[in-house]
Amino acid sequence: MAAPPTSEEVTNGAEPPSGDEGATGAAPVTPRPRHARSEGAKAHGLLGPTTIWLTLFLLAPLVIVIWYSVGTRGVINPVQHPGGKLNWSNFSRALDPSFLPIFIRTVAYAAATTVASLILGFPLAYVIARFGGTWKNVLLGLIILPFWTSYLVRMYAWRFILDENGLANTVLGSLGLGRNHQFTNTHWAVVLGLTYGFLPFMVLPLYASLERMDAGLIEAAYDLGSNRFSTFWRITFRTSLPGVVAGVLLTFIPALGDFVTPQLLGGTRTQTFGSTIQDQFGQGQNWPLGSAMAVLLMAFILVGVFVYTSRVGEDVL
Amino acid sequence: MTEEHDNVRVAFLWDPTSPRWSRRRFLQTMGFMAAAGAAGTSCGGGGGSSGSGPEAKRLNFYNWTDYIAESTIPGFTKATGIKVTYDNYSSNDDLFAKIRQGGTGYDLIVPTDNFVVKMIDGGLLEKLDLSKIPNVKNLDPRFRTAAFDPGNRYSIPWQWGTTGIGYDPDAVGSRVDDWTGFDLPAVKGRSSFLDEARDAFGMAMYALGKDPNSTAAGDIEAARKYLIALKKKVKQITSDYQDPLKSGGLILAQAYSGDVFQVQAENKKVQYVIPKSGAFQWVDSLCIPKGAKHPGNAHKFMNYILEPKVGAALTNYVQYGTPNKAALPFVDKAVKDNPLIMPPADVLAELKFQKPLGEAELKIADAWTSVKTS
Amino acid sequence: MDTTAEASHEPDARPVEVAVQDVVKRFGDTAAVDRVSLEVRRGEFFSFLGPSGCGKTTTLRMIAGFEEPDGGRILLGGTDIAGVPPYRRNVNTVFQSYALFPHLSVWDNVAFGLRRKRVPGAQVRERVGRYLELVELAGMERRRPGQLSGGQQQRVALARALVNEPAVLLLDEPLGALDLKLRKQMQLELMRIQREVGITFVYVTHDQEEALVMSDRLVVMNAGRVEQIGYPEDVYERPATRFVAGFIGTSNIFDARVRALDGDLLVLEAPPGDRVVVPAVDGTAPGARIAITVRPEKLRILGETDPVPGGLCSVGGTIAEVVYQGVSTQFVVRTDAGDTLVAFRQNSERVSDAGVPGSRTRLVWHPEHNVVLADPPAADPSPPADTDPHRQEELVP
Repeated sequence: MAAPPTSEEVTNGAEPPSGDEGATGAAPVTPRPRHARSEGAKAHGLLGPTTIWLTLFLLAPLVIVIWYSVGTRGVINPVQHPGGKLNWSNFSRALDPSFLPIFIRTVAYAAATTVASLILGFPLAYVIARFGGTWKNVLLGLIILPFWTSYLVRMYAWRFILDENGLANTVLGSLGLGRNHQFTNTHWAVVLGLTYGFLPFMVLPLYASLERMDAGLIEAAYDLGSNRFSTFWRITFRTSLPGVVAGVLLTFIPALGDFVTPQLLGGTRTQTFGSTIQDQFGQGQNWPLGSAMAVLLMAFILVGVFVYTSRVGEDVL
Repeated sequence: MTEEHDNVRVAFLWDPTSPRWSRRRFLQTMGFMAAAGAAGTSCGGGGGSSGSGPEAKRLNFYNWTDYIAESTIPGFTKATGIKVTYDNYSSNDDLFAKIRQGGTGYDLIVPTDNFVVKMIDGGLLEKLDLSKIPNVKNLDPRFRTAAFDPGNRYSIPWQWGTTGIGYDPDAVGSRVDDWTGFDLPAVKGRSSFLDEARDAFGMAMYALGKDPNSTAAGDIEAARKYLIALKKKVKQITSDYQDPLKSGGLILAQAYSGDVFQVQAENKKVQYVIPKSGAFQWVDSLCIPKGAKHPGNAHKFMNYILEPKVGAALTNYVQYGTPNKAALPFVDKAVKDNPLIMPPADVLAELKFQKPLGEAELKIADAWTSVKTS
Repeated sequence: MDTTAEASHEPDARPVEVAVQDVVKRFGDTAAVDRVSLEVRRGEFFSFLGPSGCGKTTTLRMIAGFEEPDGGRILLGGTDIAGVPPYRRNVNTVFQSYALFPHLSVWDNVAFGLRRKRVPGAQVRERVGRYLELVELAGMERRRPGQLSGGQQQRVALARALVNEPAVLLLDEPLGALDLKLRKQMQLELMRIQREVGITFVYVTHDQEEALVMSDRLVVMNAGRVEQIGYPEDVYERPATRFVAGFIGTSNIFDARVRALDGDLLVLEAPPGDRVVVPAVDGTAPGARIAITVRPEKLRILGETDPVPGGLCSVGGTIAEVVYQGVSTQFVVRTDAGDTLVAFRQNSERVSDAGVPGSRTRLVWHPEHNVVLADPPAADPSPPADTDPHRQEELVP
C-alpha cells in the first residue's frame, strides 16, 4: 500500500531529506558493491521460507482456481479439461445478469459494513490511542478477544441473541417493548453480523495510525486558530487516513467475499455473491462456474483496490 | 479431519443438553471449506493396495456426526480386538470430495444412497466380498435389491429414513399432512426447506404430483418455479433447522425423520409427518473406499453391525429405521411401532429413493442455483 | 529577584505585551511553576533559560493556552486571558517537534492559520508567499514536510506561526533538534527575522549561549522559580544567584568571611600575601560570611615573582592543571586558601610562559569583577569551600 515515490521526491534535493538530528551534516554514503551483494543474498535467504510459503499456499491455490475456471463440470469429476481444451464460457455464465442483483446486494452489504465499522471504530481507536494510557494494551486485547473463538461460533451467538425467541426479544419483551421483533433474516442482521465480525480489522489499523500521530499536531492546529471540530476533521482524521484506507480495505474486501454471515443471520433474501460461489462447489455442482465467479470477484477487488489506492493513495499514503 | 471435530464442538457449544446431534447436522461452511481444501490438491489416490499381507488390528471409520450408538465401537473392539479410529463429517459433498481425492486413510465410510451410486460410477469403492459378511442374510430383502446397489456389491445399509416435515402443530394451528403445509398463513416466514438440491426438487416434484426423480425439462422447470414461489414464503433455506425447530424460530421445516425425533426428545410439541403426496426415503450405507488399508477389518465391522442385537442398539440410539430385519425383535417398541420411523409397507411403496440421474443431475443443480439466486 | 536594569540601558518605554503575575502551576504535588512574575515588552526578544524541568516550557504553554494556571494571572496586551482557548489567543507557537502537518504541503501548512481565520484568498497567497520568502523557502511550496531537511522543517514551522502576525510568537526550543552548525546559523536567522517582523518573541531554551546571543532580555529559571531576569550581559557579568553563576558560563564561586570595611570595599579574610576585596554590599558587616563569584576570563595569571599592580585582588597558588583549548588555555589553580579557581588566558602569548602544573603562580583581578551572590554561603562555615559543588560549574551544551 506504500505509495511509490513521486518524481518530486527523487529529483529536487537541495538538501538531503532527513528527519534525524545531525544527519544533515553526514557525508553522502558511498555504495560498496561487494557488501551490498552479500546484503542482498542475506535478504534472499531471509525471504526464502516466505517465498516457499507464498508459492505453496497463495500462488498454487490461485493458479488452481484459475485453472478450474476454464474447466468443464462433471458429475463424478467436478472439473475436467477434456482434450486440454479451455472452456471460457464459465466467465460469460458468471457475468449473467441474473447474478447482478446479488452482486449489487453483496457490494451494498460490504459498503454498509465498512461505513458502520468506520463510524464505530474511529472513536474507539481514537479513545484507546489518545486516552488509553497504561490500559492501551488491555483495551486492544479486548478488541482482539473475539478472534479467540471461531467466527462461526460468534455468528451462532448472534443468532441466539437475534432469534425470535432470542435474548433481544426476551429483553425487549420484559421491558414491555414487544417480543415479536424480526431481527434475523434481515439485511440489517447481515450487516450487523459483518460489522461485528470485521470491526477489529478496522480498529487496528486506525489505532496504529492514530497512535503514531504526534499529539503536538493537535496543539499546533489549536494554536493556529483551528477549533475542536475543525482540528478533528482537518488534522486528526486526515493524518489517520492511511489507517482509514487500510481499515476500509481490510473490512470491505473480506466482507465482500463473506458467505457465512448471510447464511446464519440472513434468510432467503440475503444470498451474497460469496454464498453463490460456495453453492457452486456444493449443491450447484458447478466448480468451474464457482471458480470463474471467484476469479471475477478477485479481479473486481484488485481493480477496485488499485483505483482506490491510486486515487486516495496519492493524497494520503 | 479437525474441521469435523470442531464441528462437533461448535454444535455442543450451543446446546450441551442435547443428547446427540443430527447425522445431517450440516454446517455448510465447514463442508465447503473441506471440499475446497480437498479440491486444492487433487493428486495422490488410493495408496496401499488391499489384500497384501496381514492387516494391522486397526480400522479407520469415517461417519456422519453423532450417528452411532455409544456401545457400537467398544462392542466391536471387544469382539474383534480391532482398534477403531472414529472421525466425523457433516455432508455428502464433503465426503465425496475427500474420497474422490483419495489418500484419506479411511477404511469405512457411510455415504447416502445417491452418493453410493456416484462413488460406484467413479470407481471410488472397493467391491465387497459377501462371503466375509455372512450376516448379510439378516438384511431386509428390500435392502438387498435396492436400485442403488442391487446385491450389495459395494454397500451394506447402515440406517434409513425419510425426508418429510417436522412441525409444531400448536404454532401452526392445525395438523399438517402434506407439503401444502407451507401455504398455511401461520407458517409464512417461519418455515424452511433443505439446502439440498435433490431434496428440495424431490419435494417440489411430489407436491406437483410428478415423479420425484423426473429429469424432464418441463418438470424441472415447473419444480424450479414452485421452489422460487416457496422461497418467498419461507424464512430460510437451510439444513441447519434442528435448533430453530426446537426453540420455535421455525415452526415447520422440511426435515430428516431422525432429526425430528431427536428434537422431539426436548420439545414434545414437535411432530414429524410423511407428506401424503409422497417423500423421499434414503439409506446410508457402509462402504469401503478404494485403496483402504484395512478392508478385511471393514468387512468384519459390516458383519458385526448386522448382528441382530448390535443393529438394534444402533437404531434404539439414533432413532432412524434399521435395515436389519433380524434386529427388529430387539428394537424398542416405541421405535418399532412408530409408523413414522418404520412406515408400513403400503406407505413405503410410495416413498422413493433418490435415483442417480447422471448428467441430468447437473440440470437440477443449475435449476437449484437459479432458485438460490432468484 | 533583582530585575533592575544596568545603567547602560535606557529605560524601556515600550508597552508590556505579556505579563505573567504570580503564576503557579502544579502537576500532582509538585509545583512546576512557582509564583513566577515577569513582563515582556512589545517587540522584545525575551528568553526563558533553564535546565529541563525548570518550568520554562510550562510557563510558555500557559501563555499559549495549552495549560491553565492554578494561580496568578497572565495578561496579553493588558487583557487577562484565563479560560481563552488557544485558538482564540493572539499568540502562535513554534513547537520543538515543529508539529508540521504531514499530510499538507509546505504552502498549506503555512496557509493553515490564515484559512482558519477566513482571510481572503488573495491575501493568503500574498502573505504565505511573503513569509516563505522571509524564511527562504520560496520554491519549496509543493513539498511535504517529510521531504524537507530538519532545518527546512524548522523554517516552515516558523513561517507557519509568523504568517499569522500574532502579537507574540512563542518558540519552544525551536533549534533543539538541529546540529550545532545549523543551530548557530538559525540563531542569526531568527534574530534577523525578528528584527524584520518586529513581533514579540518569547523563546524557551536550555542553551545558555543561545539565550545570551539572541535575547534582548532573559529570565533564568530553576525548579519552577525565577532566579534572575535581566539583559544578557547583566546575567552573565552579575549573576544574582549561585545557580545563575553556575548555570551560565564557567564561574569561580567561593565563600569567605568579611574581615573589615575599607571605604566602599569589603576586605575578605585571606592568607598572608593575598588580598581579596569586593565592592561593599548593603548590610554586610565585618564577620559575615558571603559567597563570591568571579568569571575565569577576568583572572590574570602571573608568575610568582611578577609585580602585582596596586588595587587588584591577588591570590597565590599552585597550578594543578593546564588545558589547552585552542582560542584560550584553561588553568586550574589550587589557592593557598584551599579554593580551586579556574582562569582563562587568551592564547595570544605562548602557552608555556604561564607555567606548568606544579609551578607556583599568582592570580590577580580587578575587585569590581567580584560579585556577591544573593544567596547565603554554605551553612557550615568551618570546612574549606572546595566541597561546594557549585564552586566550579561548567555547562557547555
